Amino acid sequence: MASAGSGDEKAAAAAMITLISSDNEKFEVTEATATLSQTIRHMIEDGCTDGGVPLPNVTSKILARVIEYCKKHATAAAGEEGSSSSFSDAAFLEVDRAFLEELEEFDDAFLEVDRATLFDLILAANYLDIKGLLNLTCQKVADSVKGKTPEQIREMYNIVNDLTPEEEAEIRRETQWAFE
Amino acid sequence: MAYKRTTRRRAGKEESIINCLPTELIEHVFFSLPASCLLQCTSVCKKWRKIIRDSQFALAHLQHASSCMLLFSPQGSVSGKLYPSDAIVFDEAWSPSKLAVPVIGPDDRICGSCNGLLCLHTPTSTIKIANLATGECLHLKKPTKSLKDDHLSFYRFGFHPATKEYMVIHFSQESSPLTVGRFNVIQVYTLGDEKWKDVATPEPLSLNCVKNSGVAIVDGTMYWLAEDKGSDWQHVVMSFHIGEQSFAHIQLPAVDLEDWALGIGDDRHYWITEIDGKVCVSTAQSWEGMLFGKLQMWTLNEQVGQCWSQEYIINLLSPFALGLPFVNGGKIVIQHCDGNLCSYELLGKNFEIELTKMVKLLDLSPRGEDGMQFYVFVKSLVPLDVYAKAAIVHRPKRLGEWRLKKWKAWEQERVTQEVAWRRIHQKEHEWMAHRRAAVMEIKETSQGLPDGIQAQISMEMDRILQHLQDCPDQHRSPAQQRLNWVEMMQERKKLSARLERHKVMEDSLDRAISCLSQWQTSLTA
Repeated sequence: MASAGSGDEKAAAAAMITLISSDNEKFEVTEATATLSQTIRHMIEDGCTDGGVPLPNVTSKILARVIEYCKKHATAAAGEEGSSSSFSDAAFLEVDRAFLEELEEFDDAFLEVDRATLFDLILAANYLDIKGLLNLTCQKVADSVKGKTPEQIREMYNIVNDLTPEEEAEIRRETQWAFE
Repeated sequence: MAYKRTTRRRAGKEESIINCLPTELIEHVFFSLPASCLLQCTSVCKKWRKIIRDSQFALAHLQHASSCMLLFSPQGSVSGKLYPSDAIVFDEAWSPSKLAVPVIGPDDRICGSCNGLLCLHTPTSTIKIANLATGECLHLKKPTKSLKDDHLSFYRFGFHPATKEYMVIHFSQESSPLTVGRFNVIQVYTLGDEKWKDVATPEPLSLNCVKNSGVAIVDGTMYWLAEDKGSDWQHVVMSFHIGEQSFAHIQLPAVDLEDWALGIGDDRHYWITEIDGKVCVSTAQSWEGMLFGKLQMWTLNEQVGQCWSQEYIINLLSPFALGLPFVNGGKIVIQHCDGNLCSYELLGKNFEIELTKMVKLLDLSPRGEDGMQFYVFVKSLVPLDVYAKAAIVHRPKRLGEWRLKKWKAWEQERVTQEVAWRRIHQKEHEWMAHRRAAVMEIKETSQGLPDGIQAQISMEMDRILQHLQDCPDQHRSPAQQRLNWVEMMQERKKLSARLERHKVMEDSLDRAISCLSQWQTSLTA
């Protein structure tokens, strides 16, 4: 039973998918990596991936980064599946913990990008429906806002204050009873 | 107006990168921010304000917010001193809030907490639904005809997850055990409705709610403890399904009786709470007003014919205050008999509380357990103005004093404390700014004096310098915002320590000066 299962996995892992960026660059990835994207998973299920998957909303630069993320997290997912059967085994838990730490380090390093790339990654993660990546990138933006004054936030993100003085007064009234 | 516009950042050359995102993605970013931060963000721009103040967004945001503990302490008096009602919110790191909650009045009682909203009422006025984080309040008229009978009222506030409706439930308890009043109608008010609705019970129920025993609202059903006349005033769990408007009795779990307690009469206490979305009954034996022995906790299994399963047996090796224990996030919160509220890691199903492993959260002395209530709480953005139909929405007009005569002593004490704070602050400032240099100088000039005098003066000066090190130079004035009563007690302790330190420094300086003048007199003589 077990050997048949892993055989299937191997077969699945061996299947390759071609992703085509908006600037026509081709990326060959394993199905396990590609299916981290729900959008691509549905395309595979519908059997419309022959001749490559065109992704007109994602540039090659961003797609390369997204694939880098998916590769790492696909191996993580495979690792988790492998160890789940022996969940009680302390040695496996130890391995899991080390692996999770490594993954966290990877994520931290992965987010070391300029702001434009970060927002492109958000859009790509949303379009490709990669939940982990979307949460990760949105969290990074949220962290940048946390603890800042409205003025600092406007400065940072080049936002125009379009509130009328009346609205500003109303907001001040609204928030004076707030409790932190 | 036009002039003012141009002084602001020139519009539109370069669109903001964050506002170019589709609204759903901006929302996704906002989900990971706490309510307090988002409230600040409402004044960034129109778009942000619109997103954050949206009621759908508020509900979705709630799903991402982490829950914490809220401790409600109702007004009560200890040795002649009256304490106001207040709530203390513990953050994710379990550190308590220090400021008084602005929407809670000193006479308010609590009748529920859900989705960041508290339901409060006072015997003489309206029912108030308040969002703690935003400060928004909704006032409802009470369903009772005469406020005179309102002290018999039982109010509860809950949320029905299926219909996403908030409800206030009310019934009148029997007026005395002798008359055995029965209620055959229960009143329900759905937030946003025109008026209260009467729900008839299928049969007259002679039930009450056991005082300070808690209420749980889980999946649209409200559970509370009642004394059932039919079974010799034994405790029984009552449930009211908000959606179906049906009632049910549930027998309490069979409890292991403890040998030691058999001789001292049956002083067993029961509480009903919620643990991880399940109804929980806790029970323990008390003796001389303290909890002793085993604290047993059971959860209700709705799927399997309403049977109870034992969740925890906690052996209390020393006495604890008689009050409802609270379990959340793998910890139990319980008040030790020394007045300290403590948390303890839940170690398995059956364990003993080791005093050395208790984490002190808060010093609740001199107040005992008198009706302290714990609630699961989330800071939410749930707006209340959408429900303003029969109800009035408003915010308190100003951070006023408490007008009622009975709070005069409390307010006076607050003012006295503030004045004392200002005085000591000024004195400390003086010491830091001027006298510190003088002390250094005295110490230096004493170098040339005879050994005995020099030793004494420099000892006194060193003592002063050492105390000066502890003087805080930056302090928030307590006058800016009202502190909660626990923090006020703490502040008072700190103040007396500072006064004491100040006195020590003054005395040292006096002794040094008299020592010097004595020496001078001896020279002239």
